[in-house]
Amino acid sequence: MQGYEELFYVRYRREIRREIRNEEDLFLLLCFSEMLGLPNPVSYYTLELYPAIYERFHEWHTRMGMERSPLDDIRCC
Amino acid sequence: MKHYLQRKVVFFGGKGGVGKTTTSSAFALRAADHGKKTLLVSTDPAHNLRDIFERQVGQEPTQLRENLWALEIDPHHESHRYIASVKENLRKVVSVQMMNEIERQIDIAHVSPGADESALFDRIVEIIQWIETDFDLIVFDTAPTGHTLRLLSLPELMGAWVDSMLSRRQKVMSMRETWLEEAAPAEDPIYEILTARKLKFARAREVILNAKLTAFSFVLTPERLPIAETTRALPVLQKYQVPVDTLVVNRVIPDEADGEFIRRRREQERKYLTEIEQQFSRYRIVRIPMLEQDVAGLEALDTIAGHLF
Repeated sequence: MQGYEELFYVRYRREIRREIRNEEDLFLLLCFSEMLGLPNPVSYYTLELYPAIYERFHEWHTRMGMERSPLDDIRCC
Repeated sequence: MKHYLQRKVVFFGGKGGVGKTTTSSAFALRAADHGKKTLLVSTDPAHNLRDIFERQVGQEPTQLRENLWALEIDPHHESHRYIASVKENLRKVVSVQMMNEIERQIDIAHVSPGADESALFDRIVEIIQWIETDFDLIVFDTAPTGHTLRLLSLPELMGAWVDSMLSRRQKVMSMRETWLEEAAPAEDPIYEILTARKLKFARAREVILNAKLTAFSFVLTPERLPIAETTRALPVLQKYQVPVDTLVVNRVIPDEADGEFIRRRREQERKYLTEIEQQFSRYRIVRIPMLEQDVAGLEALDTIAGHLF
């Protein structure tokens, strides 16, 4: 019985993790929106977020199966 | 405008060339004479404080005389400073090889339209906080109207954006905590950076929109275009609930001026003055006569200040 519960829990956590990751991806998208051609009224102020989001961005594009950064303006590797 | 001495921040706006710098300088000078520790700030790219005070004015407060300091904001210099600090922070977290590439990209973002304006705004926000610690009164000689209005609408825009970003961060953090039973990370740098931004803008906005702390004055001349510009600008300021209460009508032909030419000019001017009085009846109106000579030096400023108070 316990094994069954454990199995349920593992799947459940995986779902939650995925949702968190989606949310983080969306956050990145919003930060870099200007480079994708979506106007961002405060892009100047988002520059100061770069140190905090650079590694996440790198993690994102490798996870998406892109060896190199897909954005011309952000070449993290 | 003596009642302006009760305020902490006073903005002088208006069309280019109507005498904003003269008016704001004269006001600052008189405020300093009244014992207020005053800082005069010019945001006009065509900095001319140095011409009026006949003294070099820098980007940090420069003392001009007792109780009076001045500084000129150079947006370009400010954005450079900001970019440098971003790079410095990046250097701490990114490998050396990555850094070169990143620097290039940041420099691209740096020249994007709006960067200088954002930098200017950022510096104004920073300076406004000084009323809590360093100065009794801060007088802004702002750039032409359109520019000023955009500056005032930016905090609102910025606030909404940062709020939505923050709520996203919060969602992620609470999901981790509730469902994954992970302890909340001691610090989320993104959350912290955004919160700091938000607080900074919110505080400046609180000051700017508080009629007890801030006054916004419009300078115009009795001519068609400055009147038209003021007519357009006032409702917009009203929309943002910016407390405007006094209009300064500069370069009014003095009564003692004589001659046929002047008589005709005065006739035309009278029409404009009436128009100003009717159209802007809800505001206090202060008139400054045209002087015989260009305004330069403390004596001329003092004459102007005499008409303001």
